[in-house]
Amino acid sequence: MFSLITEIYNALKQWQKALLFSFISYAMLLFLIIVAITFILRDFNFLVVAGLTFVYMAGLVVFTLIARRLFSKRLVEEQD
Amino acid sequence: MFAIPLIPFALIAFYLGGMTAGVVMVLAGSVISLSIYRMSPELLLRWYGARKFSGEDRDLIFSHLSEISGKLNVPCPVPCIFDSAAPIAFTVGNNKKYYLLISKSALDILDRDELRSMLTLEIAKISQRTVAVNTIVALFAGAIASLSTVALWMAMLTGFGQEDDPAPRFISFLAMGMVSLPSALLVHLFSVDSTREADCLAASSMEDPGILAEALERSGTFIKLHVTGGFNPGHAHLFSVNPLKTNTLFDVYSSMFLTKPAVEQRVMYLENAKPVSQ
Repeated sequence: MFSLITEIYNALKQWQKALLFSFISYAMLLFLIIVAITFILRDFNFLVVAGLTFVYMAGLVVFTLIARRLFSKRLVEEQD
Repeated sequence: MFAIPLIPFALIAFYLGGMTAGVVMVLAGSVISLSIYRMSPELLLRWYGARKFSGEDRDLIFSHLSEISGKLNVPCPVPCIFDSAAPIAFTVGNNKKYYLLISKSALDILDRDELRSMLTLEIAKISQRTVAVNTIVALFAGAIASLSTVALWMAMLTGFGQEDDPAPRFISFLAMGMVSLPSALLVHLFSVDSTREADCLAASSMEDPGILAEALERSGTFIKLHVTGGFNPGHAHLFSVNPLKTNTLFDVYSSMFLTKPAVEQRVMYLENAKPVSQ
């Protein structure tokens, strides 16, 4: 399993790795937002968190797909 | 083009405050946009700490710039120098006044003919009329990309450690992940790449077209071997040679900002184009 993940990761181009890390960074921001909301509400409200996660992740996935399409068309890839 | 982001703000103001608020928002936004457009070259000059030329190179550069700008029928740019380890040059301006920035390293490393070819390349970019839009894109994309440096400093000042410690670097890496995507999208959507046209025009404007290929090759090799980062990726589309590298995991985001062909490709193209232009 781990070797498969490594293989997939190594097969990615540099800009695809960058896009992957960007996606993870934004997902970590969502975690911080959920923590902040839980502190503000002083309770873990599942419905609020699930709704927020759905909207946020849907937006993020769409944004990443648009970026991927744009990069695959316009980016000049680095020569190794 | 840069007034487009004003539209939602104007609509919100119109919805909340009526017609007067909407008109005020449009006027204020237009004034701010115009001011930023006018000031963008000066802001970038300050960003790089650029200063006017002095010393023995001044006369050579001034005479060559006035000669080649007259030949290509473009306004003569004001030459400036800035401190950088990479032998690069770039031009900023807003269709009225242009500034040509040359790194101190370019003056040290490139010989006289190679330096002239780099200056010709920058003048060729002015004649392609892409400098103004690239300048304002660089200002915005650079400002967004530099937020990761702010995150690094905030991490250091709040006790996460020093610059090379894992925690501030990790925070900076995450921040770069968040800011590099919109910044790179801005560069790819709005910047205009005229590298190949400018290369060809510059090569054909020179007595020996091969000099430009030599200058590009020398700059590219020097950057590859001796320069260790320190460039804002949002400005990469401005430079004569791409100074960004993706050697380590922490530099991976630079790969999203590559808008220019590799130096090897440009050199090959110029060498193949030589017989045609002669």
